[in-house]
Amino acid sequence: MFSDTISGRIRRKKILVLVGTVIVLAYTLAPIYWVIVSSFQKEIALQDRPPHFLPTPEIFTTNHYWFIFTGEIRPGSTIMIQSMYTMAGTLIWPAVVNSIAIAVCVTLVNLIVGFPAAHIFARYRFWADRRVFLVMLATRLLPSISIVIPMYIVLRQFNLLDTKRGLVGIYSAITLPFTIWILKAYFQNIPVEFEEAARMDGCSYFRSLIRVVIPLARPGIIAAGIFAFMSSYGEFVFATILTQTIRSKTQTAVIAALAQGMSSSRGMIAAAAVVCFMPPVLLAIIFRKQILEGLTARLGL
Amino acid sequence: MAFLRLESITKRFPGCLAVDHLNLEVEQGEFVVLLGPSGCGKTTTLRIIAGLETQTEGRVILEDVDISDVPPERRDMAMIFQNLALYPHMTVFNNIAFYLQNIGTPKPDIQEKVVEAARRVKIEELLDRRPDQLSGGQGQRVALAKALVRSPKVFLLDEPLSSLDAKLRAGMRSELKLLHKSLREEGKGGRGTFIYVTHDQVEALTLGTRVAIINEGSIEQLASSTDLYRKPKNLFVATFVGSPSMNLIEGTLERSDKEAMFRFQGKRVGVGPRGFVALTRARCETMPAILGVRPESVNVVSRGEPGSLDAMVSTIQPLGETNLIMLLLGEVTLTSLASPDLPVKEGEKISIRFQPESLHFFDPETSENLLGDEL
Repeated sequence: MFSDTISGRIRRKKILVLVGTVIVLAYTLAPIYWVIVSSFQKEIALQDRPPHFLPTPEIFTTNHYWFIFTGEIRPGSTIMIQSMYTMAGTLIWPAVVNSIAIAVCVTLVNLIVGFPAAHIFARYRFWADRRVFLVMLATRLLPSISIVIPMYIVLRQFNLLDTKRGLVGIYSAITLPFTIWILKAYFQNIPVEFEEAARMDGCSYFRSLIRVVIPLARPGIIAAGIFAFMSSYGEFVFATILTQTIRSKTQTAVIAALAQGMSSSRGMIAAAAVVCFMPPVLLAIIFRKQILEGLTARLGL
Repeated sequence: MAFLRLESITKRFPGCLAVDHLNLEVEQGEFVVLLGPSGCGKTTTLRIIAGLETQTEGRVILEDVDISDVPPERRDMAMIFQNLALYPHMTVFNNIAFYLQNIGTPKPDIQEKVVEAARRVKIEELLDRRPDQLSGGQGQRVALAKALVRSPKVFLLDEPLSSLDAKLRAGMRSELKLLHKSLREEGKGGRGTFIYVTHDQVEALTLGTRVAIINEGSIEQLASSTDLYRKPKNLFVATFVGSPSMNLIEGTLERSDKEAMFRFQGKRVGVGPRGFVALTRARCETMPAILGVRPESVNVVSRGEPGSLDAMVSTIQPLGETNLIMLLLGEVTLTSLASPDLPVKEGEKISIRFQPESLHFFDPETSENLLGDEL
């Protein structure tokens, strides 16, 4: 089809890359598409075989979302669907709000604590710097489930069970190592001369951080913040075990509870899932440039 | 009392001694160049003066005040870095204004001073640009304006021209020299003191009012460019300064009658009054010595002239205005600079003579110049 010239070879390579990209994208996006399509289908249509891959007008409905946001069942719904909507569905939005609040606090703690820590790791040498850094990173390797019981006891001691503050504390502890790792790598890619020049230009250490390091490391800081936000937003194990009521329940815990009911409306579950994944998706779309830049910085140890 | 004084500065890094009890006194308005091979400790010395590095021992004294523990932001020194370190997130204007903003200068004053500094280095039309939109030479000027705008007590420059190509470098060199001169003439409270680090001897010799030759963490010699060239204190300075470097011949210096002779490889050559002085200073009749003679002082003479040496031309390298001639003198290789008009061919046997008034003699053990101060 193409002549075996250099431009022909380049074109063939480009097409291969394109095809590969499409396959990978389809593979990752198909479930998401499926959830979105399901959330707009009538319950009865969801039980058809073969399933509907497009929300055609005769099966399209926004009733599931209506229920989630208002707690009301639209008039004209079948008796069956009335019995399938559980009240847990109405907890989704408050739970998403909880999750966002917790994740924002965790992100702030991460940046306020992680920024100076990462800068020290990037710029200053002391006899055990590498060891301390590796031990800190190693805490990432502990599976959550193995520390959830001790954490439960700790939180109980401090009367923090079923509180957002309790979760903020735990999430900050488990996301900080990664934040410090990303930021450290990012700082190391910034020539130290800029900071030294700032000192020569009359900045104290802290002023040099604010006037020079933060602006130069902005993509890295945003990327680190978003990762902290995402991992806290999607955390499941601690959220399920350490919360009881909607006072502190996060969206992951509520979704899990929803999906456990065998007779729950699948349309409602799908709608709940869509509501839950929208905030991080929006965040990722807005900051996609910084996430990419932050991640492609050399994550040197 | 000197304006800036380094007292016995020592810097130890893990596993290496970067600066070794270095003493230096700089007068107000001087342009002192620290020159040495890479890794000799010259940049570390500069960074200690700046306060970016803390010395292991010793003191830095500025205007009779010990500033050893003063952080860099309060030393009132401006530094130009090797990679310039212009802040990429700021415009040229803000780069130049940064110091003034940091010390809280009122806005109208900043505007005025920045424009004046920019005019001085001819970059007024670049003030709205960002550093990544500047050429190498323009970046250099911005860095210079950045230092100028604050009229600091001391300008510190760390190989500032090394990123430029040869032609630009020569241009910036003469501008730096002019700048230093005009700052001195304005006499802004002696606000034209420069300390300049480089490994390029042309830069050092042309710019410096005094040049410090640094080797292995200490100063070998601190003198004017001419003195460094004509009166090298020891072998290191003699060979480091000058290009092509000084010819060295090992042999014996001896007295005969009223004359001093230098004997090497069975040859004898008269070395005139300077050899005599060296012997007298050493209070010896005869002593081992290394004879140093600069390439331009090795002259080709007509064959068989009395007091001349026989040599063979091995290669001729034309440098344009001169030819670099490699000579074989027995087993010794010598370089000579000669006019391209000189009719010699490769492989030809010729006679050479050393100009007696520009000979040096070094002690093979201490490598000190045997002529001492009586050069």
